Amino acid sequence: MTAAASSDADLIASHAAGDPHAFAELVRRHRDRMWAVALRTLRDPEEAADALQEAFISAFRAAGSFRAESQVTTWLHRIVVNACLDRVRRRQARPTVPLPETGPAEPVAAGDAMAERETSLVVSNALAELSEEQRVPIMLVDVEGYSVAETAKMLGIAEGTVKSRCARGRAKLAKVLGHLRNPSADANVPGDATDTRDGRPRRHWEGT
Amino acid sequence: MTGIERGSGGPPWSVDLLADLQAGALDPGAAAQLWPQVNADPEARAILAALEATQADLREFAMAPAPPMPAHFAARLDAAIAAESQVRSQAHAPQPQPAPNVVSLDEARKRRNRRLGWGAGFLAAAAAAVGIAFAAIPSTTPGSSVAGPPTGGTSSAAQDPLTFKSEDLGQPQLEAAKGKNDYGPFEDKAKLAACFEANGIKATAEPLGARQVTVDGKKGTLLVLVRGAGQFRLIVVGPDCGPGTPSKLADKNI
Repeated sequence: MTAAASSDADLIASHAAGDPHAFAELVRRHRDRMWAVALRTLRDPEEAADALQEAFISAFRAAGSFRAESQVTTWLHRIVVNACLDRVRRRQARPTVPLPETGPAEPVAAGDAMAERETSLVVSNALAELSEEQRVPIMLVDVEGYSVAETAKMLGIAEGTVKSRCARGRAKLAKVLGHLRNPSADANVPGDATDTRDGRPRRHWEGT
Repeated sequence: MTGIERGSGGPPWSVDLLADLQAGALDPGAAAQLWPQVNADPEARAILAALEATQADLREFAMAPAPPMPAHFAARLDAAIAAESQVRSQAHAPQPQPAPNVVSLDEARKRRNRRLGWGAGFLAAAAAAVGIAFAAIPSTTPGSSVAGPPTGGTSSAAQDPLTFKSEDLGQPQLEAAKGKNDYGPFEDKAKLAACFEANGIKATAEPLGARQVTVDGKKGTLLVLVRGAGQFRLIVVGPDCGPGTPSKLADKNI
């Protein structure tokens, strides 16, 4: 029986035991969150939808061997990210396929989410200016929160390569996002290079 | 000027160098030497702060509320899961016929078609998704050992389904290849696309699975393609399949 109050782990167990509805409930719970992951990774709604479908079907089949009770979300997230990475690799293997112009974050929600929306769009567009080689490690490390070691494993590259690609990507993003202006001009006013709000540095151009 | 193009190792600072330092990409000796200089230099600290602000923006981007999955995609996903669920129910239903033959396969297909009244598009999408998703799961992912039935205690490996005569190509091969990512010489997507074209198949076709097989004593790659709801095309091609060379070893619709 699938109860709305069941934990994710319960749902996985029910699914593995043959409950035909348990997995659908799990999908309903996590669909939107995983959609956001797929969309920001792939930047194309069609591709993101396909990747998410692949991922959930893969999870459907793999659920029988799922054991770690408290990590259903982490497990799903990883499967979704892997499905997206697989598509990124395919895209790279077909260089004629253009990246979509549309950014991932075009929320339909209105109201005071405006500022967040704007920030998301700015960051999304900035990320789009990176090469895939830099964008993907940055997405995994800085956005999705994977460790350098995990990222290296997922991408099949050395940890040092992940670090240096992230470093180059961040340097470029810092410029695109306006955090890094003209160091020589700012050199005399170091405290002015960034200002802080909520305890963390903010982008330079906000006040300019 | 951002400083990226400027000298490194001290003022004026190279942004790339400082980004490397911040990311831990420099060797420990160089980093240990550099940190005291960086910490003592306001310009270097400002650049580091800019890099940290960039990372903060990225974290914020991850946390930002995102729009829900559009309804038509969500419906498609639900249908795919429902179709997968149907396939699983069917797979777990008692099937007392371990040795398939042409007639029973036909019947099975008809039965499957009747059960899967979800529409060809949905099932095709779900089936294709299964194949692709298997490729996407890394070996370390929990549940990656989904090559076979999850808890099947019985062994049906009376015969190796990967070595067969071309006229016997059918359900055992479909089951053996479905969801597998063993492309062999066609690991290169461009080569696979060229081989598809040589065989009159759309170059962008996404196989549901691939497996290395031996057909009539010849080595080949079995590719499973989805034709429609519960309908598959199994094609085996030789390793030299490519532009102008179909190298087809076997081909059957089931």
